[in-house]
Amino acid sequence: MATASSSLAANTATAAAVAVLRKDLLVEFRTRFALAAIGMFALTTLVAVSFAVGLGAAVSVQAALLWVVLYFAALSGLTRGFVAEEDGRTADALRLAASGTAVYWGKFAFNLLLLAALSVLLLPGFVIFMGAEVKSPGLMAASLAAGCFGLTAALTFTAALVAQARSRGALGAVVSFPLVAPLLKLSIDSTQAAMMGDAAGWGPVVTVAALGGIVTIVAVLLFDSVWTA
Amino acid sequence: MRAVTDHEPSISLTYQAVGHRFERRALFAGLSATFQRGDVVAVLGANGAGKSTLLRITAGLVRPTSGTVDLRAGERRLTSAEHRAQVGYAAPDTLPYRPLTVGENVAFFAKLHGVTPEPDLLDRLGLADRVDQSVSELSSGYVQRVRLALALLHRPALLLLDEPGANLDDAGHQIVAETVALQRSRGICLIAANDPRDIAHGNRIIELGR
Repeated sequence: MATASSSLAANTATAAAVAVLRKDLLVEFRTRFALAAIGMFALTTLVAVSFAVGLGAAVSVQAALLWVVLYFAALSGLTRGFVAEEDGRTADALRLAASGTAVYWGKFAFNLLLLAALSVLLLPGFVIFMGAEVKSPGLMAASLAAGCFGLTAALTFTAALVAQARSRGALGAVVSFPLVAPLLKLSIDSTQAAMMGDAAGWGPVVTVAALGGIVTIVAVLLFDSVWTA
Repeated sequence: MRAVTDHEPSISLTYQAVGHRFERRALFAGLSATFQRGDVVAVLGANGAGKSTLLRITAGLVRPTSGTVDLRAGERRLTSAEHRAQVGYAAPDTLPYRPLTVGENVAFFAKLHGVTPEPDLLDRLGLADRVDQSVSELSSGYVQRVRLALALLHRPALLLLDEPGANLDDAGHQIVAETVALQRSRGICLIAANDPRDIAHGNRIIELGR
């Protein structure tokens, strides 16, 4: 009986998480708020950086700039998920209808899709505008995937933490910094290795994925308390 | 989560010495009362007396600064997650998703609750011909009807209505009356209001600020 009821609860939570994801995609499709925020930020920054640095900058600079653009674009769009629920006065209905776990996974999946789409669009822009060369495409894909996963885990959780605070914009950046800083450092290292074709870049990829996994586990454990507090 | 009202006739709501304050200002204190299935409770009080806050505390959205609020199915006290799942809450400080249609809002919240809404729910609330209309295009009166629909779609044991007649015309007030009458057979209803038409539904009273 216990197995049957926990299986039913898991199915219900999964269905609710999928419903939250579908709702967020539908709202985003109609309003294009997050897409516009992160897309325009990424495009503007990429063009500005390419004018300033030009073609043929050092690989370390190119890798760092790629992640700086990704991080700030993510910060401007991904942290909106919970704030939009509070500002749109829909958060209370969501709290009553769904478990925190379901809401977390729905928001996490939406943010991950958004950041993955951005990185897929941004990378060719980097190659074209900055003359970046990727000697190990597999490592680059893994580096972007792990980095996006880690950034999404950190930013989704900190966005939920600060959604009800007054000065949440600044607070979100400050709270997320200790989580994001090591992720960015390691992602830059693996991206640089991918550009140079250095297999040593797989180490940081695994570490970033593990860090993202740890943040996700902690977030899932704590999120119910954060969401209903 | 199963609907308590479908299986459990003895649903009850108990306040034990409930009080709440915002920093130094006490809203109310020492509220103790028990309500049973069939009770419709009018929550009265001047502006700022804490009517809406009491409803939010009852919903489990705000923790009272003192006392406890228990929702029981028979002798069993529901967990906080079960409690929240049994609440239907319609208040001016909640809104449906404005970019979504009425039907999409209902389908989304039904999915979260894991229920299929009653087929005549939207018809009863006068929303049947607005299913495909975006909430952002609705008048405030129709938005209020959507709030009611979202509060009712999982047949809650505890229905909390904050100013339910706000922005409603005569037909809307009739819908509120029918909704409260139906809830009387399903569970407990609390109505926070200043409008005499809303207050008149109550057979029990909580008066705050006295």
